[in-house]
Amino acid sequence: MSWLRGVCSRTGIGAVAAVAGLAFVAVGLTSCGGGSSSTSGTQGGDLNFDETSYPDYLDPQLSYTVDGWEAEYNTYIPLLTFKHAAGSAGTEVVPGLAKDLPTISTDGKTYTFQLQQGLKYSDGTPVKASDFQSTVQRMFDVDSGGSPFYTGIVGAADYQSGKASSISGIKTDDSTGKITIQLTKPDGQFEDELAIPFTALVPPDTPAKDQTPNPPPSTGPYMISKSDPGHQFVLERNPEWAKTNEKLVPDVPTPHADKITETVVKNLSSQTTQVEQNSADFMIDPPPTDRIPEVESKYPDRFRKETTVSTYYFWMNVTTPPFDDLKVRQAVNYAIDPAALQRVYGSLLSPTQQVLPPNMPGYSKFELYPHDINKAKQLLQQANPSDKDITVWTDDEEPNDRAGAYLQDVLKQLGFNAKLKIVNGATYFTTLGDLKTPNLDIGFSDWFQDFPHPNDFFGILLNGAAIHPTNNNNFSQFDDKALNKEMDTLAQQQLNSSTEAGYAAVDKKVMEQAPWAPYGNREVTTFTSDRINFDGVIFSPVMQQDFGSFSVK
Amino acid sequence: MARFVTRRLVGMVVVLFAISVLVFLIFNVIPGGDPGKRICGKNCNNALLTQINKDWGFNDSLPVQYVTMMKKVFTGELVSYSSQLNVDQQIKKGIPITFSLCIGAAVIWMAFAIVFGYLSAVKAGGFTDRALTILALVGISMPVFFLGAILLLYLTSKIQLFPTAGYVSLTSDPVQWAYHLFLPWITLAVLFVGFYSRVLRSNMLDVMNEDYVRTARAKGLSERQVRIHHVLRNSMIPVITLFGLDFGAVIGGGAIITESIFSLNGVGQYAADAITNVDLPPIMGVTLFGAFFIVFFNALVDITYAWLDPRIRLGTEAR
Amino acid sequence: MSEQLLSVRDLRVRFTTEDGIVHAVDGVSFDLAAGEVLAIVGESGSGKSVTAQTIMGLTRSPNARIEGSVAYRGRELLTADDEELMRVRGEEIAMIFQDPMTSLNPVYKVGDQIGEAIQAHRHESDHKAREQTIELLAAVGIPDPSKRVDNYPHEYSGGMRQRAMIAMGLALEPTVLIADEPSTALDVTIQAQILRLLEQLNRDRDLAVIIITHDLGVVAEIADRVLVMYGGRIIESGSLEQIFYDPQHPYTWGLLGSLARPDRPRTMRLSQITGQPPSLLAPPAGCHFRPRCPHAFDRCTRVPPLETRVGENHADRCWLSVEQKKTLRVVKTGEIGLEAPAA
Repeated sequence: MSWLRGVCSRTGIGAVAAVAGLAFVAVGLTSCGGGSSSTSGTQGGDLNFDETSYPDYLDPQLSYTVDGWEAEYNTYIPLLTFKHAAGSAGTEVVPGLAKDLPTISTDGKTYTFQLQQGLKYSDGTPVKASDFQSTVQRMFDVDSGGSPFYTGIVGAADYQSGKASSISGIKTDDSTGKITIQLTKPDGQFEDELAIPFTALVPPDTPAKDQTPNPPPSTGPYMISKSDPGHQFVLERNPEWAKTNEKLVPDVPTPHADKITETVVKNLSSQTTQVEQNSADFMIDPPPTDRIPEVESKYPDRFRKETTVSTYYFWMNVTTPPFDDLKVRQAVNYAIDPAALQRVYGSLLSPTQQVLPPNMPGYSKFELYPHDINKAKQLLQQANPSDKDITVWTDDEEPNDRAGAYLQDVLKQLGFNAKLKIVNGATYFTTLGDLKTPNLDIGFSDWFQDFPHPNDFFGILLNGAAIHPTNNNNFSQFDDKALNKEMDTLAQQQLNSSTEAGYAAVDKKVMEQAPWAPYGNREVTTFTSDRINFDGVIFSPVMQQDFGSFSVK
Repeated sequence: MARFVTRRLVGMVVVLFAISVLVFLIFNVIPGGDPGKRICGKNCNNALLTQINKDWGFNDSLPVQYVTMMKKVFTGELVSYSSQLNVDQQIKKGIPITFSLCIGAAVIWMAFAIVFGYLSAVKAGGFTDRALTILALVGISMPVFFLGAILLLYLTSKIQLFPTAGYVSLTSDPVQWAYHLFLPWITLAVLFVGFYSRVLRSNMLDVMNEDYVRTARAKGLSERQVRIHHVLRNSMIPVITLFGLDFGAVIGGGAIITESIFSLNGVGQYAADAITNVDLPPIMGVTLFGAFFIVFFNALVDITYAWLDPRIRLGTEAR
Repeated sequence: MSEQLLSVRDLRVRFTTEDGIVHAVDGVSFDLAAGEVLAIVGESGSGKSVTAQTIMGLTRSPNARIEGSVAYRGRELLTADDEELMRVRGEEIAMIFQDPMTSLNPVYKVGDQIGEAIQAHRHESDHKAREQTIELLAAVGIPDPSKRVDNYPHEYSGGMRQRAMIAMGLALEPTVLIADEPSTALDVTIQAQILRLLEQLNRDRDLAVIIITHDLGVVAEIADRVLVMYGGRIIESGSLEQIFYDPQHPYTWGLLGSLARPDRPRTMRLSQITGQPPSLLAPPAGCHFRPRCPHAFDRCTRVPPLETRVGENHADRCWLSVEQKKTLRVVKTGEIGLEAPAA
C-alpha cells in the first residue's frame, strides 16, 4: 500500500521506469490510473439513482455526509484527492488540482503546493492560486462542521473569531500558482484533511452562505447542472473537463456516464423494487433488512456488500462505577458476542473487537476477548461491583435500538440491573456529548472515518484531551496519560509503515484497557440495475460510491 | 357577514400565535434540543460553537429568538437548522403534491361515500346494505400504513401495474399525474369512504322518518325524487360540515403516512422529516401551515353550514 | 245525492314489529261523499291516522299487511301501482299533517315546495308555477304572498305554516283533502282561523274534507258527519247532531262527558274514562272497550257488529239495548254546548 503511493507520483514513475524497463512502466501506469477510464464499459448513458434523503448540502465547504461527498467526489476537486480505487488502494492521497503531493518542511509545519496552471471552473472562469485562500476562508465564514480540521492553520482561529480579515498562514501567488500553508504544529493528518471536499476550490465570488439550491461552478469531470433541494439533483459532464482540466488532473479519471439524476424516494422498499425492476439504476442506501435475503438470492450478479471504514461499539464510562473497574469492562467484552449482533444488523455488519477498522492504515487484527460468557461471569465475580444499577443508552434508528436491547439483555445475564434508554436519533449524540447528562454509564455509538488516518479515531474518541463538557465524542471519558502521549506523538508524524505499526500497538493497548466493547464494522451494499456494468463499479473506502465508475454495459 | 369574517380572522390570528409560542417553547425545553450544538456537528470545538451561536442568534434570550423567528416566517427567510434550506420554499414545493393528493382523494371519497351511503340507507337491512356495511367497517379499521404497504406490494412489485413512487405534475402530464397518484388516492380515501358512508347512511335513515319526507310523498313525488331532493339533500348537511373539518386536517398534515409510503415529497413528508430530525424551523413552518388550514376550513365550514341551512343563515324565526 | 268519492270497506292494517303484530286498524268501513266534511275522532292509538295514511298509500312497507278495499271513484287504491298512486296523491286526494313546522322541509323556500308539488304533476314553466303558488297563498289568507313565497318555513308563524300546507294541498285542485290533526299544534285563536279556512274551502270549492282529531270542539265546529274510533275499530258513526245529541256508545258518552263546559259548575270534577287504551299488540277479545266500560256484561265477550239501531245512518257497536243506553247515558241531551236542535 505505501509503495503504491510512492510509485504513482511523477517522480516515482520515473524512478521505477529507470529500474524496471518499459513493460513494467506500462503496467505501473495503468495501475496508477490515467487520463482515460481504467475499467471496461461504454462511455455515455443517462443514469437514474434513488436516495432516501437529499444530501445535507451540495456545497463543498459545508457538506459533511456520505451522500454529499459521493456527489462531490467527481465534481469538486481540492488540491489533493483520494485515489479512485477500491480497497486499501483507495486510501492513498494523490494530487488533485495540485501538480504534486506537497513539499513538507522538515519541522512538519510548512506545506508547499504548486497549483496546475490553466485550470478552469465549469463556467469558464480560470482557477487561481488565491482561490484556495478564499475557499478556506469561505469555509470558516459559513460555520462549516469541517472547520475544526483547519484551525491548526496559522491565523485561522483569529479569522474565525473575526479578529483578522484573512488567514495569515496561507500565502498564494497567482502568477506562479504557488500555495504555502503554515501550521501551528506538525499534523500527520493534514494531507488527508486537504483531500476531503471541505477545501475543494470554488470561485472567490461564491457567496458566504449555503449554495445548495444553486451549487457553485466545479472543477471536476462532473458539474451539478440542477439542484432541487429535497427532491432531485443532476450531475452532468463539465464541458471544461474535456476541454481543459482532464489532462491537467491525471489522477481523476473521466466518468463513463454522461448524466446522473439522483431522485429522493422516501420509501426504501419502493427503491428496492425500482432497482429490481430496472426502473432505477442504483440505490444509494442499502435495501431494508427484511428484503436483503430476497435481493441477495434473486440478483446475486448485481448485488454485493461493501465494508465501510467504521466501528460500531459500546462505550463504557470509566470515571464512575461500575465501569471504572477494568475487570468489569473486560467482562463486558467477553460477554458480547459480535456474531449475535451481526444477526441484529441483518448481516450488514462485520464482527470486530478492535478500535480501528480493516482498511484503516494501522489495522492489525487481534482478538483479546473471544466470546466466553462464563469467563465474563468469573471476572465479574472477582470484581464484585457494588453499583449494579446502570443505564444503557441507544438511539431509535433501527437496528441500533435492538443492539441496545441486546446489550441490556447481556448485562442482565451478568447480574446488572440494566435500564434501556432510547433517544431520538437526531439528538442522541448531542445528549451523550453533554457531560451534564446524568447516568451516562454505557451505550451504543458508532464512528465513520472522515479520512483514512488512525488519529481520526484515536484523537477524537479516545484521547484524554478530547474530553469536552459539550459536544464530547470521547464518551468513555478515557484518559490514559501514557496512551495520550503516544497518540499525540504519532499524530504529528507522517503515515508510514512504522507509524502504522505504532497505531496497531495503540489499538491493542487501548483494548487491553477496554474502555469500549467494539462489535462490528458496518457494511453497506451496491445494488444496481441489470444494464449497469456491475464489476466496474468502484466502492472507495473513503468516499464510498464512486459515481464516475458507473457505466452501461 | 363582514362581522362574522372579521371575528373569524381575529380568532385565527390568536390561534396561530398560541400554537407558534407552544411549539417554540416545547422545542426549547426538550432535552437535546439545543440547535447550536447540533449544527456544530460531530467534530465540534468551542471556537466553531461560539461562531455558530453568534451567527444564528442562539445566545439571545428566548423572547428575542421567538420574535426573530416569527419575523423570518413572515418575510419568508426562515431557514432549517439541519440543512439551511429555506423552509418557505420547501413548503411551497410540497404544496402542489399534497394538494393533488388530498383533493383527489377527497373527490373520490365523497363520491363513493355518497353512493354507498345512499344505497345502504335505501336498501337498509337488505343484502346490499349488509355488504356495504362490512366493506365500510373494513375500510375504517384498516390502518393506512398497512393498506398502502399491501397495495405497493401487490400492485407495484408482484404485478407491475402501477409505478412505485414519484410524482408527475399535473401541468406536465395529466395522465401520468393521475396514474402516479392513483394508489395514494385509494389508500387515503378508503378510511374516509367507510366512515362517511356510515354517517350518511345513519343520517338518511333518520331523515327518512321526518315528517317533511312524508309530506313530499303525499304530494305525489316519485320515490326517487323524495330520496334525492328531500332525504339526501337534508342528510348531506352534517356530512358537508364533517368533510370541511376532515379535509382541513388532511391538508394540514393528515396525509403524512400516505406520503411517506408512496414517496410523495409533499408537505406531510417534509413535516415527518422535520420531526425525525427535531428541526425547529420546518416544524414551526409546517405546524403554522397546518394550523392555518384547519382554522380556515373550520371557518369555511361554518359559512357553508349557514348557506346550507337557512335556519342558521337567517337567524331566529320571523313572527 | 252527491257522488260517493271514497268507499272504504273492511280495512285492516297490521304491522309486524319486534314485539309482535300490531293490529292498528281492525275492520274499518265508511263512505265519503263529495263536498262532505267527515270527522274521525279518537284517542291516540285508535287507528285514525293509520286509516287516513293508508288511504294515501303512505303505510305501504315491507312489514305492513293491508287488507280490505279503498275505492276512490270506483278505482281500487290499495292495489294501485306506484305511478297511479303518485297521480292520485295531490291531484285527487291531498293530505296535510299535524305539525307544519316539521312537515315542511326547512331548507327549501315555501314557494318552492308548493311549486314542486305543481311541477310533479304538470309541466308548467317555473314562472307559471310561481304565479299559481302566489295565488294559492293568497287564497289561504297569507298576507303579502308575492314576498312570502320566497320565505323559508321558519320565517312563517305557526298559523301561516299550516295555511301554506293547506295551499300545498290545494295546489292541484283535489276533490278530497285529508287533514290529520291540522290545528292541534297551534294555539287556540289560530286554531279557529284554520278551521274557518277549511270550512270556507269546503263551501267555495266543494272540497270534501276528512278531518282527523281527538278534539270534540274541533268536530263541533266544522264536521257534517262523525266517525268515532276506538282500538282500531269504528265504534259509532253518525251525523254531527246524532253523535252530539244522541250518542249511543258508552265510549262516546265518556268523550262527551269529559268536555270542559262553561255551563257546568266550576267545582265539579271532569269525569274521565278510567283505564288505558287497549294494547294493539294483544287487544282484548270481543269488544275492545270492555275492560274500561262501566256497563260491560257477558255478551261483550263477542265482538259487537257495527249496526244502525236508532236512526238512519247512525250506527254503533254496542250490545246494550237502545233503552238501556238511554238510561245509562251520562250526558244529557241538549247539554253539550251546542244549540239544541229544533225539536
